[in-house]
Amino acid sequence: MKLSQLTIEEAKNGLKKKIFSCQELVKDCLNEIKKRNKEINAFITINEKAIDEAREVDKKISQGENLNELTGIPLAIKDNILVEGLRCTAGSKILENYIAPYDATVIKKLKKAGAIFIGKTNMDEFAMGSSGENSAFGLTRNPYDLNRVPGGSSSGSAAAVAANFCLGSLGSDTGGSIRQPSAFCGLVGLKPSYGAVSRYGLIALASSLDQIGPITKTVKDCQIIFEVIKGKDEMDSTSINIENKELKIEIKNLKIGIPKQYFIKGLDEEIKNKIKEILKKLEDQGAIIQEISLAMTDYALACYYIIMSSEASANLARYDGIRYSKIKNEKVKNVEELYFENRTKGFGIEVKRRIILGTYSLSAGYYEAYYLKAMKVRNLIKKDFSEAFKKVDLIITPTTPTPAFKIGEKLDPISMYLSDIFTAPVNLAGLPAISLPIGFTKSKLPIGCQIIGKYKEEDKIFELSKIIEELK
Amino acid sequence: MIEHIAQLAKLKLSEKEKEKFSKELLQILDFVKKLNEVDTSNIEPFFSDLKNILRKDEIKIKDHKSKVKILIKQAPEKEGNYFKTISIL
Repeated sequence: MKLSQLTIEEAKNGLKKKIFSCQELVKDCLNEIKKRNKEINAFITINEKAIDEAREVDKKISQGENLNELTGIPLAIKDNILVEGLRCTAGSKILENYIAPYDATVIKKLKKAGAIFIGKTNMDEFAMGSSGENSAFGLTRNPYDLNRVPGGSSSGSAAAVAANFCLGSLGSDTGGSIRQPSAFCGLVGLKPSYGAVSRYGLIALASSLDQIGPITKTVKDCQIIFEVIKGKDEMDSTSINIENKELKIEIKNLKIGIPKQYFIKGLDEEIKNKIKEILKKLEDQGAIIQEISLAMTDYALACYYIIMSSEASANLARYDGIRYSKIKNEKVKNVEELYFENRTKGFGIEVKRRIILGTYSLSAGYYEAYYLKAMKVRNLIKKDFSEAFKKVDLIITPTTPTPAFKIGEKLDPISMYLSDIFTAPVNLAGLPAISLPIGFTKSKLPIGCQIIGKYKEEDKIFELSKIIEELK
Repeated sequence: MIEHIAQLAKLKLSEKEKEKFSKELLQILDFVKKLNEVDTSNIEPFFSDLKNILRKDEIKIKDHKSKVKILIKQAPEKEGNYFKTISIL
């Protein structure tokens, strides 16, 4: 077995017991990258200093220094999270040459915990997409089937872990961008409660929805990274503290809600059957499976696309090209033209599409009909969940309606937007949710199941996730 | 309409793009139209429970001068420690 195939937990143990060195571990990951990244294209930037950092870690280990939570663990970081000194593109041409001048709070925390960053991962431009096909740096392929998408927008972060290029990664999730690629690549991916993880140093897409979270091979690994990155940060006023409740759950009499609106026409039969199989096993262990109703589900995606694109159009207004671009002043007549020139050449097609939709929904005369209406519906969606959580402890759903689809298969925007149908409502409600691998289709594509918890109850999600992980 | 929106968003669209985006915008608007089925007459818009948190605007970075240099270095045009752009007036 190659070291790159280890889980974080196993690698920590191996380093601690000096079974292998950190340099060997990092070299193994870099070898895998050399072998397969050309076809998978999971990275935009490789950290050339990773091996030097590994040498430093080995020195510390040999000197008998204590190991931190992630000492010497090679991780990959989505390219919309700032790592000081490394290029940060958000998958866009408009940030092609941008070098991050500081560390995001999550990066500071991971560094303190001892992690090594192997590289910055490919992604749909500005996190807009569900397939990894919208990157200015070329599309990413699914390691399970190179003709299929890895999901998105954290396409490279999922593909890199699935291909053993690193032991875990960070992604960001606005409407499913951690959970959907985790499901497509057979991984565990957590979208934490809104505010649980600081977003200082994350390139914003939609600020009332965005969250950073881990993508890993196991639930325990996911929990290890989450524990390191979570917490209130004075640089992000939306961040909150989540106490470690150590919520031990008893599977006996645990109430699990199944929203009937999620088991609809269009849900892949194999996914449906696999979820049913899991539910049956949980029931056999004493869990109470209960049908619930999330009546607003049918409206969630429309609501999501209005809110996300409105916030995105406002957030992306800052890209004017004055601070980092290549267009010289003498090429244009006035500042207005400089903006037009930079934005027109710098943004890709999906970004332009969403800026146009968002600008339209926020423009005079349409604001009330679209943005305000969507914000009212959002309140109803949130209420749906809080009513449901009066009856049940956790909710189980499929993560995606289909397994990984073929590259180039979804050409019109709406059919692509429908990939987020089971994940986007969770962001609108600000709740935590995980995607777990629960098996494969007949054609060997991974299947994911989503567990949604109450606000700030990540611990409970992890506990049930571990139980499901054990079932296999 | 699409030209007005593009103007507001500071995007130049080719004739082909205008046609494409007009068509797609209509499709998307048609898709989101279903929100009108929801009765929201007595519903407040969503707002988060978060409150403003203020802090002093102090420089806490030790080597902030070198950071300024890194930032200015990335600008297409600069003068001293400033970004340079075309005069607005």
